[in-house]
Amino acid sequence: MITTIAIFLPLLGALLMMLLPASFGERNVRYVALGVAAVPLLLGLYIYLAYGANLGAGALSQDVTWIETFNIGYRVGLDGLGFGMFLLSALLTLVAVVAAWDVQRNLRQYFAILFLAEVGMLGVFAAQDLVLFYIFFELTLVPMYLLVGFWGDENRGPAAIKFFLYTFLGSTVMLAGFLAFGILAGTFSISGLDAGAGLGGTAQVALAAPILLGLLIKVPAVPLHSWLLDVYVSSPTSTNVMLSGILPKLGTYGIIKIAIPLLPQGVQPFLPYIAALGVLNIVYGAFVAFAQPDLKALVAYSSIGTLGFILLGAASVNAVGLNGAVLQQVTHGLYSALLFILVGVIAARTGTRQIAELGGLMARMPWAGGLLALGALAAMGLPGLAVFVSEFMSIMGGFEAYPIQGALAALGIVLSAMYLLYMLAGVVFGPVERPEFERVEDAGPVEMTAIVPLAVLLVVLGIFPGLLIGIQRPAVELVLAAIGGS
Amino acid sequence: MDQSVGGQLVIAAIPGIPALVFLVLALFGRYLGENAQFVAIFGVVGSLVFSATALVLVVGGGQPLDFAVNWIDLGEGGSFPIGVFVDGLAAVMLVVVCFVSLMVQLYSGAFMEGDRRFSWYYAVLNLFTASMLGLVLAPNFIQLYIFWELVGVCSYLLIGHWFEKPSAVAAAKKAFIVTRIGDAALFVAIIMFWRATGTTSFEGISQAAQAGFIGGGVLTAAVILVFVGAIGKSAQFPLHVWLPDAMEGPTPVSALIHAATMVAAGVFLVARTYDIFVQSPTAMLTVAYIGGFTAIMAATMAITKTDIKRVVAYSTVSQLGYMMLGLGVGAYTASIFHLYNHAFFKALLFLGAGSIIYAMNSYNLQNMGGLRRRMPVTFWTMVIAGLSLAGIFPLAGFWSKDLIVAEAFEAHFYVLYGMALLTVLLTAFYIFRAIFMAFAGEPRTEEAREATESPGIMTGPMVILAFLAVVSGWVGLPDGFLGLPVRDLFGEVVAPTAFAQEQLGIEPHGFDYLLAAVAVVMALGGIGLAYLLYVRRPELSGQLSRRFAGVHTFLEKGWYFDALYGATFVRGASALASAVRGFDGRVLGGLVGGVGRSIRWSGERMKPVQSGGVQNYALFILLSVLIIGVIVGAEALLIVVALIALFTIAAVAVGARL
Repeated sequence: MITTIAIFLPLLGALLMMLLPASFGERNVRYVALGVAAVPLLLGLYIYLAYGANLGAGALSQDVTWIETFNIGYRVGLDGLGFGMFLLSALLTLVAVVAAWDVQRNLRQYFAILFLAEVGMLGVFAAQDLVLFYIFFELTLVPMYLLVGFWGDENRGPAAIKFFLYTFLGSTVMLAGFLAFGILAGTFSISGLDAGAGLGGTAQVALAAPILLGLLIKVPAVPLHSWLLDVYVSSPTSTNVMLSGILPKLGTYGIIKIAIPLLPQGVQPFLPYIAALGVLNIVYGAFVAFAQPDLKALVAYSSIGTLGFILLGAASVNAVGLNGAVLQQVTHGLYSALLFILVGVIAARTGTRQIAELGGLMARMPWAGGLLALGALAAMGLPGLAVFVSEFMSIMGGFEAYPIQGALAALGIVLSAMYLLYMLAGVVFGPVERPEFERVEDAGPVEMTAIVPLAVLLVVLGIFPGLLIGIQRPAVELVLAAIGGS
Repeated sequence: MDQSVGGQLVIAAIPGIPALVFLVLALFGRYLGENAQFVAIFGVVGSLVFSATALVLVVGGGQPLDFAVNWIDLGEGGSFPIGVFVDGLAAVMLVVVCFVSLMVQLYSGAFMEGDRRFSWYYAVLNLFTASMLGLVLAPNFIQLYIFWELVGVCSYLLIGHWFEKPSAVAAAKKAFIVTRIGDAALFVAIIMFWRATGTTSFEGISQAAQAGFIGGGVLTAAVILVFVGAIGKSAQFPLHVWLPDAMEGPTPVSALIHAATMVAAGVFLVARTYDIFVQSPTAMLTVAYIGGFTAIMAATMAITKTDIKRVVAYSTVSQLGYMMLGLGVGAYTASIFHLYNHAFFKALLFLGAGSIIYAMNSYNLQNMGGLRRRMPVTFWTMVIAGLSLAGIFPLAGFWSKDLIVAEAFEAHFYVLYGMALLTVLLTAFYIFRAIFMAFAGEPRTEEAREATESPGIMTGPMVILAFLAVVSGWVGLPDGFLGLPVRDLFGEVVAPTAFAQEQLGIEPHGFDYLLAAVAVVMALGGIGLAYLLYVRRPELSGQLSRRFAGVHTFLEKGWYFDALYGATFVRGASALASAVRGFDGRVLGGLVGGVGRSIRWSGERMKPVQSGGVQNYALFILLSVLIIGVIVGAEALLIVVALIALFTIAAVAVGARL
């Protein structure tokens, strides 16, 4: 029950936002939104503290038959695979509310739609039924589309449409796979479908193909990523937080939670290629980022690059790699949200995102510049910060399963340092590029409120990764048992 | 052995204290201002005391301190512990790191006075020290890698401390990226070991290799990759290009990087994993020849430099080459002995160079001259450091360098012996060339004429280090040297394992007086040559460089390595990145963009259908779909699908209006 409450509370929040009278001041709207966003996070933290070691507890799950003919149900529950992302969704929504300073018009609607998206995100990571998973999956898409479409920059229209159609195409393909799977197996319950549900190898492959394709578009895996750049660049900062922090994980989570354990024989032939796609993401993302003149586009491609580690770790299907992938979902969200917010801060202060026009910001913006450096170091997998832990586990697991892919992924260590250090040299270090930068102000208290929790979590999880690995390990072992037992 | 909780706390505190100091200074530095140095010095003294305690414990106990806890625990899936392993090697390194760090931190108080980011400088200095200490304590590859990377990032931050200067930013970036190439190789080696043996502990991998779990080509490949990591950090050929540029950082930082942290890490890594290295003769030969080649190459680069810091920087590259050579030919103890002695005289050379820079505000040897009268303390300490570096009896450098050179001969590596001996000559020449150019003759500029000796807080550490540059080697006198009742204490504390000794088949042999004499004569020859060319007949050196202009430029440009790498790797990477980005935008983006444009076109046609209040309209659709779906309860799946389709069409229609 508590899970359901956590999922749908933001829906009430969305209604509340719409009901607020127009005369309600902008500042007050922001405070109410903060309150609304804090509740699911507090519930999530309560669950972590009370049930962290035992997420399978009955108190957390619910099973209501909805469409009996097809055995579709409202089935939700938490497990170690999704709980990290469940918490991160709640956290990043709160961060996004704080970071929504660049949204000025129609603020109530903005927050209402943001909370709708949160319902979808929380729902995806708790769904235990394929159709429900799909519904929540899609429920994130439309609000995100609207957020970009209405509140984005001048290029938002085409960007939003491309984003919507491309990923909708993907999820429709995925839905087709789900429907066929559920009908053949006689149930849509994820727990009822364990390890192939008695289907033969060929049937599993036929089902896995569309499901994987749909999920890989969502991630996105290179070369299915061309919807991403425009929509990332056009979005307001707070939408970026959700777009990069949570949305890609819907795809990777689907692979880890659904494709691998439910269709073990089906995904088997695809795994080396998924690992290879992961490597492609890492290398390709790094090179494109290296040549980006636009700071936000650079961060977008950096984000694509480090998503590759999730694919590599997931495809390794061993304890180290899979744990790394599950953890990287969270750590990627933390660092990419941090970087996007800082890009927003810098762009707002200086009026430009062109790396060539920036430079020397450290002199006047030590906090923003220093934290940008911290985020960049996290992105390049510096030990002591959380991304390192998940990346090294993903690479190690990936290398154990696929030595060539794993060794190539280690190249990412050099490539990411290359473009991120060029970025730092061009943006925060060096002489002050323009006289007006002598007068820019550092990140203010509101902005720091959005940034600091992410930075602190990157450090804390970097030193104590057991905080999350401890709760995800039992669920990862179940996935391994499913694929090992087939 | 004292494995008690108290003992463990003492060990953990060694890197823990500077890490804590970093945290305090990073968070509260702005309130402390320049008082930050006292917090930092207090901390590093604590670490030094505990390090000395650890040394006593290990030497007294006769066996290593070793304990670990699980950091990442995946049960049967594998686990990654963190812990400490303190043997003689680690204990000696701990003391050296803490001691040099203390000297540098004392000295920095004056050198960095008035710096805009004074407390941040001290914060990073302490993180640097903590990282190096953590690295030295590591019992396994993952922990080593963690601190290895932290050492790298600290040097990045310190080299780029004056980031208003573009050259400092470029040097910091270069240092990080070049060493990261080595780091990536090291990482691949780690995962190769892990895949083959299921462990990351040094001890475990060595034993697994002995048991045949990993062997032949794989072992050799992995060990050579570990060595590539060491090449990056220790600035060996062909990844040496970052170290001379790293001079952009504050001079005390150079002292720390060159003496105790960062570059020492590469040599330490090879020593720490020596039991694995000795199992691959190919890898050992690689280590020896890369080291020998680097030693002579860097020494030739040093002889034409006019920037005093760069002379000393190339000297470090060359000396680290010696240590690698020594490790490669089996002279384990001698190499570590040289690392230890080198730490003191090299730190001193940098602090001396810093003292001159502090006085004159110039790095350029051609602007100096005659400083011996103006800066007597700096002069005499530099001469002592130079004699020690050149390997003149009985200074510290003599004992360790001579051991390496002699062992190369004894182990029948005559080519390497020849290279090492030639390097002795070059070393003595380049360092005394620099010393004579700075201190001898008459002042060549106004600044040199008016230079004054640095304050006591700077010369104090220099005098202490000068004392050590003379005597530090005396703890490792050969047993019964000249019939005196002396013992090789260093060799008793830092010795290769019984396994490594057996694998190398090294016969113990006595001190070879003839080889030592030859080396000292070579060194004296180098000093004499420098005296001739730069004191007695200064016009000769100018004539020589004009006569052999091509050679001079070749050496001056560092054998054109920077130009070569710039034209190939740097430009190659940029060109490749631009090409990939072009492909990404035009080919992939173009395909999808075409589809998008046609959709937009159809959206334009639908525009009149819509009417105002778009946001609320969209929300209405969303909410009603949700409510209908849940409450009414679709009996058939068809309805769900139909709803979704409707949902989509509506959304696209709304999108077209944007």
